[in-house]
Amino acid sequence: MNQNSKENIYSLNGFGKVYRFTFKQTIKNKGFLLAAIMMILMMAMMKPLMYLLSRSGDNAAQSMTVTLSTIEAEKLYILNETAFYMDKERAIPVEVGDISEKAVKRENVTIYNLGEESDENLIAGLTAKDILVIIRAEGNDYKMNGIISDNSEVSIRNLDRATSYVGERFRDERKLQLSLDDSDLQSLGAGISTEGTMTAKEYTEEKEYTLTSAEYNGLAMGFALIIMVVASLASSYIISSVNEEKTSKLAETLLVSVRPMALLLGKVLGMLTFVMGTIVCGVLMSYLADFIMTNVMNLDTSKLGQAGINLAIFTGYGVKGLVAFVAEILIALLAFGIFSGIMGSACSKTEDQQSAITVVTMITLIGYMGTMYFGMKSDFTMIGSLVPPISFFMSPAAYVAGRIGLGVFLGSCAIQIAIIIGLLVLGAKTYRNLLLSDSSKPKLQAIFAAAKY
Amino acid sequence: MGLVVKDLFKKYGEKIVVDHVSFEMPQPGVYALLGSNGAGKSTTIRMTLGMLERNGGEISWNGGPLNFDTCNIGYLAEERGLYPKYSLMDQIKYFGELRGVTGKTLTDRIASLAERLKVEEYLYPEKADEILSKAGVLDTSDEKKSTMALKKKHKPKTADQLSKGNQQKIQFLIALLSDPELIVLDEPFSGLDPVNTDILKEVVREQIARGKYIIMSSHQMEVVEEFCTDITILHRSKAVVSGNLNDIKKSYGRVNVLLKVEQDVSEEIKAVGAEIISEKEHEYRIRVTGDEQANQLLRRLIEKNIPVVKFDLSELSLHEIFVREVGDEAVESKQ
Repeated sequence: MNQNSKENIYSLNGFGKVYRFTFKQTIKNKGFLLAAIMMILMMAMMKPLMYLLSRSGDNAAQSMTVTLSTIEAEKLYILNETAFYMDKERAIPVEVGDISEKAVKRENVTIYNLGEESDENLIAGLTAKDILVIIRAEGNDYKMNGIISDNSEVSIRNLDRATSYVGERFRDERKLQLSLDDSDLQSLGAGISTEGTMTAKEYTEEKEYTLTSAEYNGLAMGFALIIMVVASLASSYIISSVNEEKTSKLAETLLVSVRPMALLLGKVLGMLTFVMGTIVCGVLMSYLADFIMTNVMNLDTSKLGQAGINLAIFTGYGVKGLVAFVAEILIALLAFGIFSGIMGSACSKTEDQQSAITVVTMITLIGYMGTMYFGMKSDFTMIGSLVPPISFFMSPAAYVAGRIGLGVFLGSCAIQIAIIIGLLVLGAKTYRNLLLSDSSKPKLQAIFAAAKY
Repeated sequence: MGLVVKDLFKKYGEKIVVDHVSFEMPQPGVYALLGSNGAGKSTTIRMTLGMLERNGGEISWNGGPLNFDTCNIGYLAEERGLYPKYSLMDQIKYFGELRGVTGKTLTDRIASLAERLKVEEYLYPEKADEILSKAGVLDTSDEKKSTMALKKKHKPKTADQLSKGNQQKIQFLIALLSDPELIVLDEPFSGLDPVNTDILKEVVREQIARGKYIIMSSHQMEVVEEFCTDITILHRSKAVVSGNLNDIKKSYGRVNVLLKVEQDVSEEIKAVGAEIISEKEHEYRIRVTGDEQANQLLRRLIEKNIPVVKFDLSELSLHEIFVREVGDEAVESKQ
């Protein structure tokens, strides 16, 4: 090849102008702006909506723990055919406050324990305003039937309330007779986590880790999910933005003014700033909503715990965790962003964009699934933390959890930065050819082929 | 020293798309790059401007390399493009800034070119009434329009609100924003109406007068003849004709005769061995082999006392040279 002047395709001259223009025009674009506002609103409304849902849940729960005064009937008969004796004085508490005229009076509640009355007799004696609840043992379980007469005036809603009420009273009786309280029941019902078999060395190592396996898995999956969502979102924006320039036939006009690497990087970083800005605004709005709910409206949001947007993953592991997670997000976004920019330039038509987005999504899925797999296998934590694309998703969590040391984490970051540099070189070599080509396809083979010319 | 393109070569895989093409512009002027579709014009331009890497050849500008760092380039691409949904002013400023023109210089140049190209009403919608009023085409009912309607009217215009012709004028404006030394115009007048064609031609004439180097690619041969002093015709990736337009025309000889008489002279024309291309009401377009055959025909007509109203001997037109070089006949004879 005889060239008297080798052009510097890696020059970043003009990058700042491309970056500013891309960012400003994205903000001015109604489509992008509307999508950003929707996303910010969605993030901001997450906690208030969860609060409203939990309140309706509380109301439902409260309606389940009905009192006698909420049951509209004349008489309530309870036929207890189990071994647990129900004493009316203890089982049916005296109720205070306003009691409706239509509600069942305590004196109209009759309990028949095992052998004291037959169900046939009770059913035969039911009037239109009476309710009968039968409790019987079936194997290891208890079964309850609420029964009303054929010509009953009692509504199904009231029958349900009566059944719930009797069920609660029967449960309390059992607890009392077995001398158990709620914490005993919770302890008995709690699940047992089994970590499988391990060698003595593994057991010793496990004890040295900062986080337990369960905590580590939760952290790794949580972080991988954040990377997957943010990278997928940014990728689709970048692909459509780069492709817009190509389909608008602007490539030639741009390429006589700015070199490919500056054009690619300016475009990618402009879009990434927009995406990250949207996410940061969403997080801030979410915190603002939380603040208003707690401090202005004086609502009790404590029951929601970590529901909604929370940054516990970044703030819960000290400075080390914060730096590791933020650095990894920036590295991953840059890598996926540049790759998406190259894929976008390979799309000849708007319809090709979906194929390009699919390729990027597949790679993020490989990273996510790899994190799921390697996260559970302690033998492969090192491999998962070093091999891209899994390392983008897994390495900071593994580092924070003590699964890998600082050296391995830095090595992982170095590999990822090398990939970014590789992608930039590939972009510089191919971006111009792909933008100028009318027949390129968003396929890796086509992109590498473009680098030859 | 100007522009020198020497032995330019490009291939994709085994396919050669530009085969050792050379041309030079030692001084300012207009150079035409002609060729049929797919001949390699756009690839040659892209390589010349540094948009595509070349597999061989040399390109120099005033003795050094040619790229947008060493030469102020203005380019109107064949594939016209603007951001359809962005404000026109935003994108014009963006392209200007990318070419290193900023601040008041940029604002002044936009205003000046907008006036020359008659696109002010699109770039300055807030001044549209004033502009249209000056042009005498203001809709007087505008005064009665609501504030909302006026606000909408004065909203910055986007490219997709403009006709293709006006979009092309905006792209032409962008190409000239940096006051370039080297201007490359790929099909500058295609798709324009006669009024807009004249506006653009006038601006091109101004650039020529200011001593700019202009490379023009066009299929409109009359336009090339109007502006260009030197040409290269590309055919199937090779330069088949290259040099000064007048010299090229002379090399083909004076072979066209336009003859107007008052009677049928077909037999006389055939008698000297000339070929009748067309005939309409005793006005003949004739192809002769050269000056000698033309003189022979004229002598014969005089000898036979046939009154000659008009006898015009001329060179081949560029259109005819182009068809001769890249038309089917040329292809077959070269095979």
